[in-house]
Amino acid sequence: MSDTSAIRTENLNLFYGRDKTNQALKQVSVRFPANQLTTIIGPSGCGKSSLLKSLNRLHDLKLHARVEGEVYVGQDPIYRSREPVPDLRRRIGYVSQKPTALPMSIYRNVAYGPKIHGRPSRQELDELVERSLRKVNLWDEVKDRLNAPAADLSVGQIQRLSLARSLAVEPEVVLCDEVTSALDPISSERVEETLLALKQDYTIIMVTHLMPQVQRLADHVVFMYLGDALEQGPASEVLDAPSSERARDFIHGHGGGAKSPSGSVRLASSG
Amino acid sequence: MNRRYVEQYLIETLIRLSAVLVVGVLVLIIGMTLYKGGQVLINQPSVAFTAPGPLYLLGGSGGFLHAILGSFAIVLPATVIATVLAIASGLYLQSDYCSERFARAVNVLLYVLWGTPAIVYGVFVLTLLIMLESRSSLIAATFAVSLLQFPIIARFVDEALKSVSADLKETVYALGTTRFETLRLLLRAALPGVVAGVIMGFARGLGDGAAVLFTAGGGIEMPSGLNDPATTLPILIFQQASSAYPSVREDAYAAAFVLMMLVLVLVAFSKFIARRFSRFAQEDH
Repeated sequence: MSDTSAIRTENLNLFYGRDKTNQALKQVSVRFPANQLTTIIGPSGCGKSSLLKSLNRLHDLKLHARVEGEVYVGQDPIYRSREPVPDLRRRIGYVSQKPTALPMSIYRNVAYGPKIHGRPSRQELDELVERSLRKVNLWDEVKDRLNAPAADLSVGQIQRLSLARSLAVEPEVVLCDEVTSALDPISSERVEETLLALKQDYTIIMVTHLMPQVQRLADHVVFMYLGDALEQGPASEVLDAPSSERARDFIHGHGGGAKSPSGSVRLASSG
Repeated sequence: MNRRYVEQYLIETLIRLSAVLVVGVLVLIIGMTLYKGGQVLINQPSVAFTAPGPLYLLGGSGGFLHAILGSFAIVLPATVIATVLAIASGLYLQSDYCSERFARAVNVLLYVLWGTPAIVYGVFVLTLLIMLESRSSLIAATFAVSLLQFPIIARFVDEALKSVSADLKETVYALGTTRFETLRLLLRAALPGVVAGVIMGFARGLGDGAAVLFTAGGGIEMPSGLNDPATTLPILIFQQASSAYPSVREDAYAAAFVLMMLVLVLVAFSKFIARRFSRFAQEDH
């Protein structure tokens, strides 16, 4: 497999439930190319989020979940690696579906991660906070009230703050789990703009069920169906000529105008 | 008139009546205490600030400073001990170290302990004291009161931590935190609930007489050391109210006044603290 992939999985299985007999992922082998935006698509409950969370070992937190198979970050098999899991999670950021503010000020929300991983000076921290907030286009909106509770921000702002918080620990990969699903169209658009700008520097893996969003953002697409990765490849190939019946139904059923070339921003609805 | 409206009218009248009854009794108790206790304290403010004379409970000179100090000396450290234990157990029950089934079982037991009469804790500690051939003392009462407070505070901490969203937990872990760092942050998110629990426990400890009845000693000496006897306001009120001397019985109102004020200040303080911390809490969108 090509070395340009930032992350790849090999025969990844995920079991959950008290006896760990329910299978959420079945022999999933996919690759996520570096410095590209990959979307994981598919119907609800088909393993999109499960796949995403297995990439930074978030399933380890659950008592009743078991992961089998391999996930490689670069050349590093993370489920067998000696690297402590917290260090791994620092390298692979995660933004959840629900916009979440830590119970502290805006500034401290962003500074929280860096302070845990090192002892940055006040000045370094100030710079880092500003840089991170600028990356998500939030700086101008909050620079005058950095000490206000983060919970006072709007939902859309909190979601961008979450993104800034993840970026502040300088990850290589950013995982996004339906990050726009709780947002209004305008806020979603701003988050999308941010993600597009970020993919120059980061590998982004994003779960979504919105076909228009896939067409606007995706370089690479993975199609999940009932725990199987049925399709994967460059967005143009998967969206225009899906090889499986399921993927064709899903893409055409949801997208409406999905026959247009990928990457075109032709659809009016922004989710 | 339509039957439905008659029904509605009757129920409404009943609800109003029961409200009047409940509030009326409350106002009566609080009003009597404030009025009678206030009278004693205005005429003779020194009762709250002087140590009792040797014959205080027999109508002698002095005040009940010993019980006020004793209350604090027993209940403050007890609250600290109970809080530390309750936070530790709450964090454990809500953490990834323990299974849900175990947590549920422990919570049922905590409810049982919550409902256990305080006198049972008192007798339990008394039994220990007899086994150890020791005697009633300030430290024994502290132990008994912390036993009484622990289930209350632990339940509050557990509920507060439970209300912290799972998303917050994942979000924090995803930043690369260790379990300890995550728990610390979750505790911070749960702080308003934890503070409420601590104050509840403190107020319960302050107002309880049964747990200290056999364990503190209950003399009229000023509290002087960990191994010496002490007493608390509820015990004092009991002693005063059952006294044969009218002047001592009057003082019971003053003691009740002080106790009531302390609890009131505590509750107000906890509301203030809880509001300060909940500024940072995210509402559900």
